Order: sequence, then C-alpha cells, then structure tokens
Amino acid sequence: MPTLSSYEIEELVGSILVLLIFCYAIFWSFNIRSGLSVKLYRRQILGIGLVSIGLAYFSFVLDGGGVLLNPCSATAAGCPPGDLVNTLSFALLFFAPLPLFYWTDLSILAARESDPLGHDYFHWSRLRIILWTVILFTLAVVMITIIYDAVIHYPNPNLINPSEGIFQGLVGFSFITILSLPLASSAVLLPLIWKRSKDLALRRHLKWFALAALFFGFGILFSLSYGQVGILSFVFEGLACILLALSGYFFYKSARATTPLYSFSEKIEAK
Amino acid sequence: MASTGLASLDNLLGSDGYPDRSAILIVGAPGLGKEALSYWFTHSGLIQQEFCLYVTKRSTTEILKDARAFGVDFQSRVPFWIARDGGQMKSDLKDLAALSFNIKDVLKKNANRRIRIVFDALSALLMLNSSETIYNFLGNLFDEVKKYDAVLVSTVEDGMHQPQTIVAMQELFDGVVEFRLYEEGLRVTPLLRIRKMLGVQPQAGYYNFSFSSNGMEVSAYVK
Repeated sequence: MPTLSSYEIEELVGSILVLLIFCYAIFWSFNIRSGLSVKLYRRQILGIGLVSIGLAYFSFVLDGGGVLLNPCSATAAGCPPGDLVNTLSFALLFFAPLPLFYWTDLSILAARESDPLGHDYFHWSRLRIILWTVILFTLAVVMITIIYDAVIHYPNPNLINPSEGIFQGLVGFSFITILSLPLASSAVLLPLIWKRSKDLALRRHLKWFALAALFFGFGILFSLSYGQVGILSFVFEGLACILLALSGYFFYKSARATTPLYSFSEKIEAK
Repeated sequence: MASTGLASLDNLLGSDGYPDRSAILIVGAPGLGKEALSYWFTHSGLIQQEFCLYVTKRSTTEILKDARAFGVDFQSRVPFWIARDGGQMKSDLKDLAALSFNIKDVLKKNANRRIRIVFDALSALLMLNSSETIYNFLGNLFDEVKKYDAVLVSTVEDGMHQPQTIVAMQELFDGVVEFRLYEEGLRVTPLLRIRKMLGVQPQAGYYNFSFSSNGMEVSAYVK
C-alpha cells in the first residue's frame, strides 16, 4: 500500500463519496430494469447502468482513486513501461465510449416506439447498423494492435512508450473514431429527439441524462485543471468533487425518469 | 363475458373475463408488458372464432413479432388489421374521422358475430390531438361498440402523458387494469391492480405478475 499525503487522502475520500453516489445510480438502474419485461426498455436502462459504471470508474481513477488501483503510480519512478496494468488501462479506454453508444442507440429506438407516427428518426434503423459495424470493427483492429504491440515489443511497447511506431497512428485514429461516433450521435441526435418527442417520460429521461453528462464533463475539466491553478487547486478540486457527485445524482434521476414509480396506497391494502 | 385469454386474469376479475359490451383500459408504463394482454385477448377470440379487430399505429409485422415474444402465435388465425402497414386497412392516425369511419364500417359488416376489438393507438392519438378531442372520439366509438356484442380493450402508456389525462381516460372506460412499478424502500416490484370493472367485483389488492409462453402467472402480493 503506498504512503499517501493528507491531501491525497482528502482527494481519495472525495472520490470514494462520488463513487458511492454513482453506485446508487447504478443500483437503481439495475433495480428498475429487473421490473421491466420488454427487451428494448430493459436494454435502454441497462445502458444507463453501463454508462454510470464506466464514468464511475473513470472519475474514481482521475479524481484521486487511481493510487489505490495502481499503486506504482504513487511512486516517484512511476510504472515500468511494459506494466500490465498500464496496458490494460490503455486498452480499456477504447471500450469506454461503447456504453454511451449502446444507450444512445436504444434511446433513439425507444423514441421511435413512442412516436405517434412511428418516425424512423434519421433513418436510424439503417444508420445504426453502419455505425455499430464501424465502431466494432475499429475496436477489433485496435485491440489486435495493442495486444500485438505488447507481446512483440515487451517490455517496451511502442504504444505506451512514446516513440516512433506505425501502430500509434492507427491507434490514435481508431480512438478518435470510437470516441467521436458515440459522442456525436448522442450530442447531436438526442437533443433533436428531445425537441420533437411528445413522450413526457422520454423527455424527462433525456433531460436528466444531459444534465448528468454536462456536470460530469465540467467535473472532469475542473479535476484535470486543478494542478494548473496553484493556490486555487483546493477550490478546483472541491468543485470537481461536487460536480461529479451531482453528475452521479443526475444519472440516478435519469434512471428513475424512464418509468413512473409508485408507492402503495393504504386504502387499497385495507381489504 | 369475454375471456381475457389468461386464466389467471379471468380469476382475478372474479368472473370469466371482461364484461360484455364493455370498454377496458390497460394502463402501464412502457416495458411492463401490458401489450401481452391485448395479444392474449385477441388470441382467445380467434380460437373461439369470434371476429377480432386490431387497430394499431404499428405495422402487422411488428405486432406479430412482439406477440411471438410473449408466446402468442397468430400464424394460423389472424385478426382483421387496421395498421400502419400490412393490414386490410391502413391506420391514418392524423385523420380521426377516417379512423372512426373505418372502425364503424368493419363493426357494421360483422354485426352478426361476437366482436373483440383491440385499440392500441390511444397514446399516439393523445399525442397528436387534444385530450378533449380524444375524449369525444372515444365516447363516440364506445356508443357504436356497445350497439354490438363487442368488447373493446385499449392500452395507454403511463408516464407518457400528463397524469390528469390518464385519470380522464380512466373515467371514460368501464374497466381499468393497471400495470405499475411500485417502490418499497430500495425494492422495485412490478404489480398489477384491477382499478375498476363494470358489473363485477374484482379481487382487491396488488398482484405480482410474470409472463411466460403459456400466459401470465399472477399471485397475491405480500408486503
């Protein structure tokens, strides 16, 4: 176990609190999912759960929890180049956008289900096949590249150790593709659906998700910036923690907004 | 009585099914499987060689695929479809007058038979029209339906509309079956409740339900 400074301990406590809030959102996603029968809506709320898991992990690692997951990152020397944890973390990054695209896909399909005239928004029934094919193919290529690089160039893989390497260009381009397609489809298409849809539940769900994503983005921004602002670093770190915590809460609200939840009426229960 | 197609639900209603010459509303959020009641209701009618009319905003292919997922196979016998695609008549939800005329025309041509009608376009119509317009449309439709030996079952999506709209719709129908997710602490449970049913005393309380290829299993919910 690495020795942590008091500042790092405070950071760690903050990141654990954020993680707990995200865990609550994840719990409710799966809880509500268990009550649904129809595949489309079960998968849609699964998407929220998976996005929350991914972002919870990401915010925990970035916001002070990284020292627990990768102890050698706390040492002065850092991690050896061919370290398996670093390679795995690098590879995992490419899977990170997948839950977002999965949820986006299902939300657009759900929007079609609730559309009174059954509009196929943006010809999504066909467009989604193309996008999934591109994303999964790119992911497969990049995974093969990472594994090949790690095995062939062990213990100094080119991808982790910045140096020349034809693989770097391929992996960099692939990452942009895998990241941009989900982000673009959610950021561009879903607001349009929100605007057009008359389904109140879907609109509420998208609204909370958008807030969660926005607060998460700003939280990460503050978290990455705190090292650059000198004396204000405590403020930035605190703000990052608050924004990320709110983001987790909004993911919880987004999960709950997918379907109305009721409490029992005493009048009914008394026979 | 018109059997619901599900023995467990027939028992719950305290009779052999939905009352004759009635309009039944099934309320539930998307994803809870309330459409299954429409499929089983239609299937039951087809087996008994009753005339079954299915009015939907979707295509027949989508309905058939969805019904199969709930264990209902319309292959050998199919209802009369008023659907977006694949039906004997096209459902144009933007033209209420034409929709009303088509339904009444079909009913008139089958007046000498026992009739079952499934109307799963109610939520779509509420999104395209004002509540008052749909209220009048339904009132008109029910007057027509009750001239014949018919039972109408309609579904509406809970959560999609304003709560007062759902309450207003419930007032209009003779029977209301609710599918809801109930929250008890950290637990979420899908439960069924018979809110009201014309002329019969349904069993009060909440009921667990689950779907299988054989139908729907229902059991009393214990807190």
